[in-house]
Amino acid sequence: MLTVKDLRIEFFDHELPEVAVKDVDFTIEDSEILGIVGESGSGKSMTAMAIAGLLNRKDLTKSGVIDLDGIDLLNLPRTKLREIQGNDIGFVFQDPLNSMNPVLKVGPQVEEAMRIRKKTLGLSKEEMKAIAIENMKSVGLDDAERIYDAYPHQISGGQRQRAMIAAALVLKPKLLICDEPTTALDVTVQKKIIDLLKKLNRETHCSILFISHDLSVIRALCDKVVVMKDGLVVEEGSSKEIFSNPKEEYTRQLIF
Amino acid sequence: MGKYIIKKLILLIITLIVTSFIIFLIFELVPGDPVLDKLGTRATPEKIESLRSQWGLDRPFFVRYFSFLKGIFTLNFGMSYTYGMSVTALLREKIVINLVLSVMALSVVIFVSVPLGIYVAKHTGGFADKVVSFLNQTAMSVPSFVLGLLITFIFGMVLKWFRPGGYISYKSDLSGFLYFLIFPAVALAVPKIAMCIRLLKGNILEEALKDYSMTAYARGNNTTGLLYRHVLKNAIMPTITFVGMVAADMICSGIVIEQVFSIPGLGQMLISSISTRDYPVVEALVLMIALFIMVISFATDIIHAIIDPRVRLQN
Repeated sequence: MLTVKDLRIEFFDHELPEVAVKDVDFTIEDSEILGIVGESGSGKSMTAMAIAGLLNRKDLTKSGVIDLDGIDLLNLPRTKLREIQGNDIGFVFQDPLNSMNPVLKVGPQVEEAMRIRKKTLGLSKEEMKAIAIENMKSVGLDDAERIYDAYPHQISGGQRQRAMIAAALVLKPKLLICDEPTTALDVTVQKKIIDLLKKLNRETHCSILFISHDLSVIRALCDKVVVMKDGLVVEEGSSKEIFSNPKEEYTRQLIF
Repeated sequence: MGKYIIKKLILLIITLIVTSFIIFLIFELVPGDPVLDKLGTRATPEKIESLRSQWGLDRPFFVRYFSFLKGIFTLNFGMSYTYGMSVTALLREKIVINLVLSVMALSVVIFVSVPLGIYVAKHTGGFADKVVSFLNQTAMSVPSFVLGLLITFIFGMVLKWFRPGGYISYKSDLSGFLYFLIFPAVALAVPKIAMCIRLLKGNILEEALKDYSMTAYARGNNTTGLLYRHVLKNAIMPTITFVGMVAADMICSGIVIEQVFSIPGLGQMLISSISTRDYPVVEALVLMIALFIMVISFATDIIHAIIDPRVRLQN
């Protein structure tokens, strides 16, 4: 479904190009969960952002292929890209507090992907609210009606991240990208979020690209794993293979 | 929200009482005797005593303070020593002038700098941004009174859009009064506009780089959607605080500007009554200025609370 080929991202820092991501290749099949693991600075977040079309800085060049069901995301014009963002690709960020707008209520933020496409979708305010609440319930926010009208600072970290997942899934995207979604949460909440992602993957069949530096989280969740270091893919394979029989020295170091 | 407003209102009243005490105390401690000032050195002790009791200055400090405090709430500040009429009647016109001037200047600041700030933030690095940045630098470094002189020269003497020094009282001609005040209001507003644009632009650009803006982009927002749905509400807060400070400053800058444009406002009154030791007038004036500033900061707090739920729900 998603094919990334020869992805290369370069910075221009003081005229000298600095390569953040070099020749990254991987594919995600339908309803598959792919994990990218690596330490900070390995280029894993950069890769995720590039796929979601969030790298638009002028001091940065991208080359290669990012293909989502036949659409070349890397060379898509901004207007076309916006139709895909939030619609075909949902994105969940690391820190749910900072990634929510503090002055807007949770509900409107969950609805936003729909609200932006109000005209094309032809949904009324009440219908959007109903869908948002339904989505919030499906990610385990049981008192969705209250949370809908609450502000981000009034709910817990776990609830915020669930709401962010609901917001990312509101238009049933084919691909959900989670960039370290559990890092800012307590361990017990982490486990619940992982279980939730697994459940959502099983029920909605959406593919998940899961970024983390935490191997135990990757192991618990992913079908396939890509190990990255210094912008390069070190090793790639099924979760079982990588964890039972790591080929590369770096992967072995990470595991043990 | 109602609770928040009531709390702030109570705080405002307490501040007002404390301020009134400080003002009253200061003018009690200032050297100089208004009675001797009025009667001269050759006055007989009987005459001095009779004037003193006529003005109520023979009463103890706290008795006089409480009658002053009562005056704040009943708007009765006693009689002016020099003009022989009630302070309230004396000040009414002056306060109207300065209030209208401040409100006009403040509206100019808001209605020019907010749209312009948003525009240059959206088109950073563009032609308009460069022009505005250059004008900002210039406008910020020219003080209001110099600008007032320039405006008087260009619009008053060269273009003859108004008659320099030809202040028209609002009692005789309201539209003429308002028209005349446009020029000092602009002189007051221009340096503040420059600062306001810079502040707003900077804050918008800063907010646009925050995590929640990235989330908004990831949902398919375009720049306009991001700006109006997400960024503006967050970025406008420091500007509101700044506009509040500007509003407070308008009264004080107005004192200088009214000299430049020969407007018989609070400033002239303040200076003349300090030199004649006309304490009821001075005290009432200073208190009015303080009250104006307090009301502005009260209003700023309320606007903040309306926009930002974190302020509103803190307590």
